[in-house]
Amino acid sequence: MLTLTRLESDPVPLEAECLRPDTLSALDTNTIAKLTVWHGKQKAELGELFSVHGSASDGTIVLKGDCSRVKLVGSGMTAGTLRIEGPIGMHTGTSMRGGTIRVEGDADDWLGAEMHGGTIVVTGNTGHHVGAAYRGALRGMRGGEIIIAGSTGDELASTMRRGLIVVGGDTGVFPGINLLAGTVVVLGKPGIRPGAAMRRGSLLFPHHRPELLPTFRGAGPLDSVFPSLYFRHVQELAKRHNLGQALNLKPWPALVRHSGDLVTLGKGEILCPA
Amino acid sequence: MLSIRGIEIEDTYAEAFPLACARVIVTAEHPRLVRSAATAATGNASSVIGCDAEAGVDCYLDPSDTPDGRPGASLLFFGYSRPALEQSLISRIGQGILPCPTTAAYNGLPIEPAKCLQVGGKIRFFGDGWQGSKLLENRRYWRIPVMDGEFVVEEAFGAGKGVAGGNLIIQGTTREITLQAAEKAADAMASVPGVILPFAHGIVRAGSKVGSRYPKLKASTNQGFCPSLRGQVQSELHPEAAVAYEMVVDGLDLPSVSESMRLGLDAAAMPGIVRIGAGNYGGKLGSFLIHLKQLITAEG
Repeated sequence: MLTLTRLESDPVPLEAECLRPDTLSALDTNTIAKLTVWHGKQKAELGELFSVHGSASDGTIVLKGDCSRVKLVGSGMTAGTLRIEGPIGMHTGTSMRGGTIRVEGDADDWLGAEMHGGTIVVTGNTGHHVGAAYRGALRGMRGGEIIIAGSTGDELASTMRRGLIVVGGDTGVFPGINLLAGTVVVLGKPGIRPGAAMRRGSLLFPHHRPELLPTFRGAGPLDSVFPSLYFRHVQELAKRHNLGQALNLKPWPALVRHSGDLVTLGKGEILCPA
Repeated sequence: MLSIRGIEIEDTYAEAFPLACARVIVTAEHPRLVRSAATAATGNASSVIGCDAEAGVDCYLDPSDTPDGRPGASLLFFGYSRPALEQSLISRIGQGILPCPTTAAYNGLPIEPAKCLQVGGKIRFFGDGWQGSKLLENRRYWRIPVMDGEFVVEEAFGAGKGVAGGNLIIQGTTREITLQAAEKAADAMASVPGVILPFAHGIVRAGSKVGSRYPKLKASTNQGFCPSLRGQVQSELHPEAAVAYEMVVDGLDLPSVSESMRLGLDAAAMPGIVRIGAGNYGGKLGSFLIHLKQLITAEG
């Protein structure tokens, strides 16, 4: 296990996309300490900003200290485990394809943006644009799972194409905006204008009925086993990632289906209590 | 002479052969709907001699053992080949389970991508463009709109190499006693997980041989075991036997089939039974030879 400890809190952003277990597993400690990172607009060596201990040969990295301004951690990773003990900055796990990132704290914006696979678990809250597409991109998250025990910001799952996002708390505005497909489960209170311009996909709000846009049409109670498959899966995820206390796991009531957004394809759905 | 509690056990073997197999977990809101769907999906599936598949109910499942937390049943299907089995599953799930209210169908075997059966992936076209899918833990589920809500079916089903044709032939002095022994044997044999007795009531009175004097017929009555033909053919019945019944068992693997036969042997060995044997083709057709002697030894 490789342990990297941030030497001091620093408001200057640090871009450390080299911090991914699949590539660090082949490197020794000295090489890792000499990896290049961008500290603001200056190049720096990783060892100048982190203390480096151990080896990532087992595919595990632990990040300690205040990393709230450290960006792009785990970006593009394909395997291994990255455990972040504390807050983490923007773009964590973007474009990742495999492995697991566990954030024991809060995560900033663009968590898991355009990810293709793997799992991200956050025990705290997150910023905006979780699982989203970057500006101008055609597709956001394309696979994998993001589980957030706390609340999240605006435009959750924007332009998401595939995968599952579970949010234990509330969301900001426009959850599921422009959703292409995939599933988003919000156990807290969803923000306003959910599913705006969604084409396909499912937004499940089992405990709160949001005010819906007028371009959604009620289809009555949904008689399907599909929500119960997801309820059981969320239970399993909570157990697997030790989030039993954090996630609201009370049984889901019967859900009503609203199809939309009829300004676009209209094959999406919002499931919420009657 | 081999025997169990004084009942003669013929020193012979059952000749079993490999068939492609699949397990379908069917669930519904109520056990009565599960039973109806299971019956429909496994109907007319006694033997691949004349049916597209051999099928039956492996066991009924508690809600805690099913993917969606509802009552369910585990169904086993056996076919000559994976393509043939895939077609059977599409037809049987599509016509037997899909129309039955509140049902859903899930795969019950591990999936090897190169060998899996595309079942839900083809049944989905019934949705006529209104179907949707969900990918959960690398398993794709199709949601097909139907008149009471949605039918959920898994896209791919695992295909294994099962064992078919395990059998016992029970001969008794009267029909009543022999049927009673066969029913006890059927109950015991079916209790083994991962096996089915594909024939009605688990008992066969029409044991067959390969071929016929009529060229188009693949199988015909096994005259040597027909009591009414004594004197006309070389009888294979015990001199005191008035009736013979055959028990046929298919399973997911050889140990399950052997264990099922072992339990069947023990259950059928009751007063009034004069001989218990097994059917074979001289070892020429099947790749699995299950010797009754070894089953008795296994019993201790």
